[in-house]
Amino acid sequence: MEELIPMLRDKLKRAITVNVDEDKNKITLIINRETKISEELASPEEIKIMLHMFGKLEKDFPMNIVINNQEDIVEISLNSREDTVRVGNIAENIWNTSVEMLEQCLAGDFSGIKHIGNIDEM
Amino acid sequence: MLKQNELLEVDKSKANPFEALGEVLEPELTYNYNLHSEYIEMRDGVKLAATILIPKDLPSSGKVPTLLHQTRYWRAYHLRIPYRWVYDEVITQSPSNEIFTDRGYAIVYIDVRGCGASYGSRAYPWTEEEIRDGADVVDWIITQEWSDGRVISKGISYPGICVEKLGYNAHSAVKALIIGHAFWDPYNDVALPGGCYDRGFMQLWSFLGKKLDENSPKAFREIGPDSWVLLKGVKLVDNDVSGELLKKALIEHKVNTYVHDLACDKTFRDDTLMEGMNFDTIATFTDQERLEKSKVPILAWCSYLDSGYCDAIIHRFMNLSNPQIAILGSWNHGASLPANQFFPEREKVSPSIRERINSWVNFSDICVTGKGIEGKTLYYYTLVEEKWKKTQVWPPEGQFKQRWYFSENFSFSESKPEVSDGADDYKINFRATTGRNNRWWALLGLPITYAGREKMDEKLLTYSSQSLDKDLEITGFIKVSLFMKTTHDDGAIYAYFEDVDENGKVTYIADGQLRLLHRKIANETPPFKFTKVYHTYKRKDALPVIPGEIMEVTFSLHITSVLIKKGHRFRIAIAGHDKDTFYRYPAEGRPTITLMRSKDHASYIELPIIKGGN
Repeated sequence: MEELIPMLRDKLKRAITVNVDEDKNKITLIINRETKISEELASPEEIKIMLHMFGKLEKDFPMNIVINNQEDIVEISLNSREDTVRVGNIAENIWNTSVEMLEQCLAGDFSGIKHIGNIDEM
Repeated sequence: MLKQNELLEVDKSKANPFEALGEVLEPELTYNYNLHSEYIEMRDGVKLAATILIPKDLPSSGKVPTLLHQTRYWRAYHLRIPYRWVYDEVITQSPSNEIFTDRGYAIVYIDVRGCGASYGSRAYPWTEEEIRDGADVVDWIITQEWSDGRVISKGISYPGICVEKLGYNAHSAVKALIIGHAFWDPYNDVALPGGCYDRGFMQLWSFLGKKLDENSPKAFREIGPDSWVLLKGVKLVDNDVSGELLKKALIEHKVNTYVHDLACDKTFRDDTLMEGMNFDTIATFTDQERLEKSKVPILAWCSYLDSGYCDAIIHRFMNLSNPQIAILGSWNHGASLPANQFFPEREKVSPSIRERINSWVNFSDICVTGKGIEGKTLYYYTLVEEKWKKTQVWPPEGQFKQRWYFSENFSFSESKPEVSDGADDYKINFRATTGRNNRWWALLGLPITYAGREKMDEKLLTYSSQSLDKDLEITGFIKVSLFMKTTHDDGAIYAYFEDVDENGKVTYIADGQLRLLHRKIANETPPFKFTKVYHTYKRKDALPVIPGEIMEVTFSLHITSVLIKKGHRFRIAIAGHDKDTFYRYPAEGRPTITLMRSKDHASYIELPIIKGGN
């Protein structure tokens, strides 16, 4: 597993394209899945958990998430430009922050997961 | 592709097993397999979840041998996003998946009954039903159109024990077993080493198992946060789109029982854990004949610092008649990290993970299409000397025993004491601990470190030799024999064997433990060949501890092979507790023990020496 971490960062960077439209308060994630698996791309809850885990976004942050499983696209609508910029920044860095957290934990440093609430029953 | 070469064999000129087993290839980590999952129905109707990897590059026959991996830790994972977008559900087994499929093997991952996405329930681990499932799965594999009718099995820890027990079925399609870090005697190797209950592991492992069987990743947050970050549950089988099949399976898991609940109040090897079952029910030695009947070749491997599983390597080697390669090295449970306490700065494990996995594939090739293996060879690594060695017999040829007597001024002497009143008192320090990165917690996959022994030894009763005037290689089971008394009616002794260098740096080598009521040395023949001090741990052999009465307390430490260098000293540090791991004996009170070192009560240690010594 450890030897896959360096590849993971590159894979995620290639796989996730983030478009932030600050005028329309809308963020679009276009996912290029290398392994097309039979399950759905993600549920809206999973998107919320991802933003919470890797971007410290509050779990109940107001947003509307629409998943397009056919096109592998996630659309996030927000209430303000400020919110859009914040969530956009998180989304744009997911490829890196998600790997950083994994690396930290593998090295025995668990401080990076302390902020994460009870996500297993969300 | 599978090596079709009947001349493939183990290179007998090499002492390093990873060189003896052949070359290391470096396949790219690409998805060179097609993956799907489905349920397989067992003889009694219970359905087991299976994930199947078929190499994309099949031979012209379209048929390949199969690697079977049975687990209770989820056969495949439902990854969290974003990881799921780029990796598949068996990613944590990488690069084993890529290497085995690249080398022409299909792989079948199974959730054992009562676990993961499989149906059924489990009264305890490795029930006869679970063992027979292994044969049913092999029957299923060899009827698949992609199967060439040959199966090997590989696993580490629980899956490793599944491998060994698959051998009980003596299924003719099974051509090789690769058993990583597995017990031989669960009472002594893991649950109650020396009769001391390993609360740390047993409790946490049971908690982990219960959460896994509920499909909750919560336990990982405590035990393996890297896993928790990565995954959210077991992978559903492909046709379970709604998750309803998994829900039904989880309902069946609700009646599962867990080992801590069964064993936490038990003392003796023959205590009943549940109707018709005790510790020996699942011991490998109990079913030795079944395994031998299979005649299947075995590659068994473990580490000196892995619980009591290190001793299991020796016992399996000594007792099983199956052709066997046994390997005892210096790494953590599963060999993902180094564990050599003499070189704590080392970051990379040796062999590398790829070297190790390639060796297992090479072993499989040798057994499936090559010459096979003959006889038995044990490869063992000598610490400090940093050298692999091999032997066809245990103990290794040339081993001799040398006694060193506990002596005045907390020293050792080669001469038996002549004084009539030599003794040292020690009030047990119940804060003494080897921490939570010791050999017992290691079973949870944690790094192993016995750092800070200088400070810990200040809490213990220690005896050190003089500086050695030549190198001393110790390979085998060190014996500790104490004449002692205590102020209380219960207790345990923990003995740590250590190296002390010229600067006073203390390095842990091995340890052993014995609860005092189990101290009777049995005259009866052990149930398997044994070179350690033999205690039965049976109720009939319990000897009450009478405060103030002198007892002879003799036990073996766990296996080691180490070179104590010229100028260094060896040390025995004696404790009465290891608080982060074991139950407290006695439960209350703070005994003082008296260790005798007189001519009538001469306490000693006995070192198994290969070279050096006097």
